[in-house]
Amino acid sequence: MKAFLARNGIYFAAAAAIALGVHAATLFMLPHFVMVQALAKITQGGGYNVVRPIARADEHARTVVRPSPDLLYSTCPFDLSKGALQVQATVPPGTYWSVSVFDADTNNIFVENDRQAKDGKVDFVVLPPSSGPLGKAWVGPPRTAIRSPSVRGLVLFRTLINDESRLAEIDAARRNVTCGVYSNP
Amino acid sequence: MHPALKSLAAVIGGIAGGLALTWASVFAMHFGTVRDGPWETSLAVGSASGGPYLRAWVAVHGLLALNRSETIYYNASRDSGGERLSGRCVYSLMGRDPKARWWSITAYGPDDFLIAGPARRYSVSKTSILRRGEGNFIATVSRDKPGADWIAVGDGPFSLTLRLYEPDAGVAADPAHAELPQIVKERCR
Repeated sequence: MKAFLARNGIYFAAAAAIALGVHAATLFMLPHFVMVQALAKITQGGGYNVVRPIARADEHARTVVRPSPDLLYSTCPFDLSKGALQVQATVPPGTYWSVSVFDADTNNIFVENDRQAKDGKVDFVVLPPSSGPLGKAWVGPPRTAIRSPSVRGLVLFRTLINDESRLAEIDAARRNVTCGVYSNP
Repeated sequence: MHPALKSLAAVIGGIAGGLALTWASVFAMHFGTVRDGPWETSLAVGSASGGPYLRAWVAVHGLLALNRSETIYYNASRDSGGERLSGRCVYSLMGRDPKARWWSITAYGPDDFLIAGPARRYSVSKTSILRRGEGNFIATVSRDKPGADWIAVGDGPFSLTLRLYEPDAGVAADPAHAELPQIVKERCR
């Protein structure tokens, strides 16, 4: 056994070094890979910086694991390479609603719900990560700004169906959102 | 063995070993998981902090999940007796309203998606469930329809997710000691 190890020790050492390198690389890249896969599914048949109301989840929903059938989701996959993203929404009345922003590594970098929204409105800008001209878009009160660590990411709107008899009304109200490249006034 | 073959074996073995380590880190380890009866939740889900292990784990297990003050996600793959949940059995979800603005319990198949079936009864919630005396509720989880307050599952294994939207501050601060529904196995086929 000792002779076998002496003859092949360098190969075992090389295999161990490669294993550690592969482990570190895949572990580091995994969040980004997961988000790229999710964005690829979400942007199918469309592009970035537009709102997509998603149909109510059922057994055919296969985009993101463990979807809630009690929520209506809308998404806005964003690409900040052409500038900041502006998100504006009117909060649906009488139910739970939230808007959340996720960066390209799946981190939740912002969330605001219906009770936190002032006067039932949400208006914020997602700034690109660069400190160059694109990152200096004008933002003033009451509009808030969020600095995204990545160029791409996702804005996710959740609207709770807390009353099945109000489904049509809630579905209509959750569509009062816009998402697009920010025009600096 | 020829040195070239040994080198090739070292490279293949190293890559396989590295991938196995990553798989074990993400799927076999539980980062920040706390238990409350049959329910488990991770304190890490929705958090952007932590090192590469935690971040990889959250990306796989908590994709697009919100932080704990906004929503708490509890999962159960076993009943209150510690047995794995199976569509061959009938279960009762028994309890009182968890302390949150709104809550729901949803069943998922082994692939983490909603379970196909003609009934399309995927969940029960705070606003859909009937209350009995003193605010208690009992819902049934089974393949076949038993009556009202029913979550339909298939024949195979499944898991449940309990979502608490805007949980009370005490629950968010100490999710291991919240008052959550029991999952009681009634009978099996």
